[in-house]
Amino acid sequence: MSSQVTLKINGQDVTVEKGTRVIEAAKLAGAEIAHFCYHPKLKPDANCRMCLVEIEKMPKLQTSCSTEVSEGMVVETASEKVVDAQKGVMAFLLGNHPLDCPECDQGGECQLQDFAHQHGAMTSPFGEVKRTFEKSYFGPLIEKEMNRCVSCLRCVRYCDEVIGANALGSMNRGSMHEVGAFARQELACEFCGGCIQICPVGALTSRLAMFDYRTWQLKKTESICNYCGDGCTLTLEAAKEEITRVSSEMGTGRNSGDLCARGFFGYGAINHESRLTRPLLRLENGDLEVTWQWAFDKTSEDLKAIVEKYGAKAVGGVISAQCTNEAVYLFQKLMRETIGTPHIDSGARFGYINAVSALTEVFGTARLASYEDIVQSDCLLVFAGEMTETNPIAALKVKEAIRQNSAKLITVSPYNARRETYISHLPHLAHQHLQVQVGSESSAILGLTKAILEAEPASATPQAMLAKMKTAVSGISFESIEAASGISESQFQKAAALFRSAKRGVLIVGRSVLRGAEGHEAMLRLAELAVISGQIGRPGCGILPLSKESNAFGALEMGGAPEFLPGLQLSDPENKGYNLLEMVDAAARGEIKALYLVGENPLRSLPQKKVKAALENLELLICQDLYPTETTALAQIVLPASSYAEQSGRFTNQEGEIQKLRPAIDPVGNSKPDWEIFSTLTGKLNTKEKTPYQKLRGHVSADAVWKEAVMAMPEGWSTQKGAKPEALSVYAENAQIAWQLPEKTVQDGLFALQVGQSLFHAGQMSTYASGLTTLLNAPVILIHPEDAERLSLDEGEQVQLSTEDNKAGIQLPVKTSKKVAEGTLFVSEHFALSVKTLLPLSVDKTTGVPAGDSGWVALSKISVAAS
Amino acid sequence: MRFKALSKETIERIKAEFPKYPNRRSLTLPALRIAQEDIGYVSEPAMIDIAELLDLTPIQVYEVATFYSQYNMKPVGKYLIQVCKTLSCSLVGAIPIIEYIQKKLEIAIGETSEDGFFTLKVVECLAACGSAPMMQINDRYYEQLTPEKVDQILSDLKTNGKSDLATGPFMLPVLQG
Amino acid sequence: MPKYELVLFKNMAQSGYTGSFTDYKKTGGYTAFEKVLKEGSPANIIDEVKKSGLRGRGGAGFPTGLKWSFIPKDHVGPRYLCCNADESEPGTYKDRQLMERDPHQMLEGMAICCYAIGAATAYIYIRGEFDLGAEILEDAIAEAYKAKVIGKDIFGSGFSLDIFVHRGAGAYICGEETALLESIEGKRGKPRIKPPFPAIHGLYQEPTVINNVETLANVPHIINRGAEWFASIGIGKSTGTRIFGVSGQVNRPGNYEVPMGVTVREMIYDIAGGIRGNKKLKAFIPGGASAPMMKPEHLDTPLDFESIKEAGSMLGSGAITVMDEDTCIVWAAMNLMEFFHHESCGQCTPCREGSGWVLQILRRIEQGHGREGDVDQLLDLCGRIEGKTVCAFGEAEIGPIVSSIKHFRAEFEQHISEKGCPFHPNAALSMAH
Repeated sequence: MSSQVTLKINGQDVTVEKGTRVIEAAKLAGAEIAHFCYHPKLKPDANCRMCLVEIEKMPKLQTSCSTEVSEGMVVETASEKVVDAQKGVMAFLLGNHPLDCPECDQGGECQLQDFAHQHGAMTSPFGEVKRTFEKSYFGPLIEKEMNRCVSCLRCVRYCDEVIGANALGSMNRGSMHEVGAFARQELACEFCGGCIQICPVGALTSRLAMFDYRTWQLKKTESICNYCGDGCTLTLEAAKEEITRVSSEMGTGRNSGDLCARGFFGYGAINHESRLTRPLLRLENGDLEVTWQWAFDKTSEDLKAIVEKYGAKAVGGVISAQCTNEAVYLFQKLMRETIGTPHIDSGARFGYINAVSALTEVFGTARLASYEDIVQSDCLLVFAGEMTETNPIAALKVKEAIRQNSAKLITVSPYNARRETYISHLPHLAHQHLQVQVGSESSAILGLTKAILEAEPASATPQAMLAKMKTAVSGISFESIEAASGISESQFQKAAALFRSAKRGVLIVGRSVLRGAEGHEAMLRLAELAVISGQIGRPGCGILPLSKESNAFGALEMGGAPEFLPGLQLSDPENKGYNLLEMVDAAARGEIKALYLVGENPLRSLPQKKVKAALENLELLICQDLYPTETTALAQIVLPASSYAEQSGRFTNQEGEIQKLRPAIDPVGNSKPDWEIFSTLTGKLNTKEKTPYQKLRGHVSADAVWKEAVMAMPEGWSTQKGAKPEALSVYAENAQIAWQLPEKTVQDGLFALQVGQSLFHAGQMSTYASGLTTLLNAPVILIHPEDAERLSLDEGEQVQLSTEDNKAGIQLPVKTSKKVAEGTLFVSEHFALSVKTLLPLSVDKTTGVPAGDSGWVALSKISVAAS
Repeated sequence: MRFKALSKETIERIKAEFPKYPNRRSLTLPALRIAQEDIGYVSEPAMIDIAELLDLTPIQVYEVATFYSQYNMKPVGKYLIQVCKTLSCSLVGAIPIIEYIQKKLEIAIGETSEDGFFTLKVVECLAACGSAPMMQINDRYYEQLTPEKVDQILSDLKTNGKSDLATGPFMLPVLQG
Repeated sequence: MPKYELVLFKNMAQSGYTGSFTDYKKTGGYTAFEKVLKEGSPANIIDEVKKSGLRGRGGAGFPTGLKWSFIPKDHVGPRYLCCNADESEPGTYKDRQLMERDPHQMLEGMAICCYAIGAATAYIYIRGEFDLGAEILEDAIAEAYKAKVIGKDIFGSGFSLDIFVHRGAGAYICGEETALLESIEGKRGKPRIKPPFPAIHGLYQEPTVINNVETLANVPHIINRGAEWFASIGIGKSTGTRIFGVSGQVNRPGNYEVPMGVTVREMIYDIAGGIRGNKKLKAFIPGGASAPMMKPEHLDTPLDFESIKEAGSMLGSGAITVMDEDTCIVWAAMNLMEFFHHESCGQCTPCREGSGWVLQILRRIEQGHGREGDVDQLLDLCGRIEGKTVCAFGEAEIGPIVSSIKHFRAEFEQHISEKGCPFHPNAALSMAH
């Protein structure tokens, strides 16, 4: 049967896919039909009745948004009858609509304005008193002006159908119908901003930018978000060189126009008053703001002096994984080639390197799965219960797979399968949730591996690998795995069978593995699990490691790690540089004398006492950053960098997609893009031959840097997608596969504490965004309501967390959450770094990734002193 | 889970309805009714409890509660008087009955008498058109009303908690073989 | 009028009949169900019901057998029957009597229908205000389970059936069949867009039949006495008896079961005893509030689907509301518009916005603030609602308005020109819903 249908629209033949709706077919035929409730992302609701059309053989007008095309259908979209109906509906919508367009923030991009202009009558027959509702707010960020609402329910439907937060609803009925939140209370939802974006009129608008602009005054620039590795396309909208609003056009980018709170409300960090705007030198008699010329001279002279005095290897550099590919490429080149030190690392060291290094070792590439693979998958195995918080849009793809393909979701996570009231939560949506003990994800990998090996491993598995794996698990019983993980043999078997039998299975791996203890090894074991499950090497299958930073993949691919040269080529093992922790240790030893930190703040990310001592031991600390930090306070030279919104360049997201940033505003203050700073410094430090032009100007643009970087890459570096069979054979031969007998991790009387990310923040940058700090600006401990009840803790009560030996204690307030398991606690990392000092830090034996997100703590009530 | 507003018995009554439906959401109407029987109206904490019990979000319960006219979103008197005013009732004297009750109880429509016994509401058709005028008080119908009958019914309810004037299994006209 | 036999009211007309299982059984109850389980194939039952000409008694008058036959035979998974007992059409109170007086008659009809369409679960959606009715049904269902006429493996046939009562909570719109399904699913009673129709994607997206109480109550009789017997009652395509509920200004209001085809005159003057106080008839509504009003000149129209339709109205739910010469038509239209405005679900624009707008104008006219052109504007607004809404509610709410203007336009004009209502006793009551 043909999947094409031919119909006639306004006399013109149109051929479209079967299942297309008349409104969409008409658009293809060049006839835009006025509409409000219709939206391509949503199921048809046909409530606004604006899109009525005449269809031959149908006595009544039909809503074109809900009617599917059929062969031979004859449609009129502008007949007299249709125009009359549209005028009628428009009159109904305008009858009670206020005449507040002059002060409505939607003005200029309002569908009611636009369609009224086309379809409305010149005069209104409505002579009654208008119905009025009082203005109200969905919390601190969203204004609801019900008088402007056309009751199309797009907001409610988006919240239900796309986000799955179920935070909005209809209330009352008939002409008093309203959209709103429970009992008119403030919302406590995901604040994705989707309801604002999808509202066709000015009923829902952002309070962050109330009356700040008229839409046509905004300069719009499409770029890439820098708050996580999802790689969302967003439109930065600027008025007078200030980012005033963010949107994302429906259907564009990897995110298809959907955003999360960080993307939609997080732009305040860009023009924050705390931004560093001028180079700063810390001299003996005080700080001095200087010109760039002076700063460049000083930086290059000081570096030269260190190299001359101690040798090039006394210099080290660490760059943030939120810097562009161009910046990382030039930085590693500056370090490796110009200065001559192998000590170069990036923020990918905080976990993502475990994924890239393990996956390239096994499969020859880390580009193994895309969002399309997730959406089209029929089974998803997700080692990331916190995915909505860490990677909200990738999590949306998981939800889309469940909604559209009835994909079966298996989650492995310590979280409960219950959700916070209005925030979606993958374990809650899971077909099967393997609720492991905190920190025992690797036991779950073992359990699943054993279950598949004992059933029917994929025939394509290399024999050598299969044999090694079988030997490795042979001595370990399901009982011992259950003791360690809390998951029974039958649960493992059920989940393993589900994933093994999937036609298109995708494995998703998050920070609980990548930033967990021995994450590199865990990632290798997961790669093997995917192989024996048959979910590698076929279309639609694969592995997607989630990245916290916007350019962790790119930072590694550009050579931002001692073990990788550009293109993930392995560096010379004879001359291997230090990674981040090793550099810190070397600085403490006095071996490294100068450290160049770009967007990295080790005093926050590694809150150990020794780190501060090590940095203080340096002769030269150069910090290049957006904001003053704990670390910049120790630096001799502070260089102000431009944010992602002020520069060109590229990010590579967690799928391996390389996407372009475009400058939306001029650099804030006198800041400069990182690549430009490195280019100039390279010129100043380069003693080798060069053209006078290069010496003078460095690279002319980020694109020029990119051209150079691409030339340095090996063939096929970014085009290889999916496992290389030859790489897998080599791995199968050489791999050493071993499993330790898992240990029971539960410690009686103590709470398992997990530190992680909040949906409303990403690292430190988000804490400068007023939109986000409105949602979360102080640390809390999430605790299960039963635990709180048992300990008689009130909501918001301060408690003391301490290590078992009571050496250190930290006081924080508690908040109950159904999401966290009984006996566990969760603290988001953005405001309570000190809590990390309670947790043990382990260092990955292969990659040196510091793991210190979980551990056991005692929780005690703070006794109220008798007054 | 612990519940904030609903008693253990109410929770059990709601749970007893679970087997009737293939999913929990279908329990929304029965749960709201049972909750209202327990506490007299559907309070916000009660709706939160219902959401918890049915694995919904509170707004999903609230949407339903505000759609159907029988759910009291605010506390009402011990006896909720609902007088029908739709055409058939109005044609034969519903309005004088409504005015009579207002005067007698010294309350306006929508108000509750000072003693907390009676709340008066005016409602749309209750399917007793042949026996108009009529009213519903709590779970019973009272039909073919006259001011005298209203006096009797209200006094019965106040003193005995029930009235013999309540309609039994309905038949009009009374048919006989 | 010729003599006729009661069918649906026959049992309850016996003195001492309580409607209990025992009483119902004594009248031959549940023999039809037993017969179909033992002898009849589902296809034969559907055929028989088709042949009987039985049409839906809820309002639309759709052929019942045909509706049943739309259920896909090869469907894997559950199918459902929903009995529509959300009796809410103003003027209508017949299902209440059928349920409260003879609940097993309807239950047996449901059981036969379920067997015919292959449903193992049925819900009775009863309007929330029918507390007594719900209690009686719950008791009757319990009796039926006890007597094993419903439940597991009925009469050893292998057929199992559960019947549950689902109580509404005050919403006229839930009588619309897809809104009813939404309501059972625990949602707001918003009619769905059609297609898909419930026979394919109904309750929980499974194939579903929705039938009115009176419709289902007829089924055991059709099985027991045959399609031909049933088709012999009534007139033309309107077969069987029909329960007409007469209300308003008549001497003997009530539910009367008669063969279809008796005239309105016979119904109002002979059966219901004529107009109160010997007043003159001014207007009547033949089929519930949403049926267009008719005038005395239509008194000789037979009460059957076709004849009433031809005369410009509809038989609807069989509710006849009678208005005498002192009734203000503007007030009556306003009263009904208040009802429809209160009951509009608010989902689609024309109904949500239009009902309020129309009501405001009617109120204005009735209260003496009418303006020139208001009547035409009312008609214009009704035209913008008609045929443009998600469900039939749009047509329902304009029915009384358009028809009252059609028949009594002068009275509207008089209100406007005289700046007030000439019928003082019917002062409008300010409603605080």
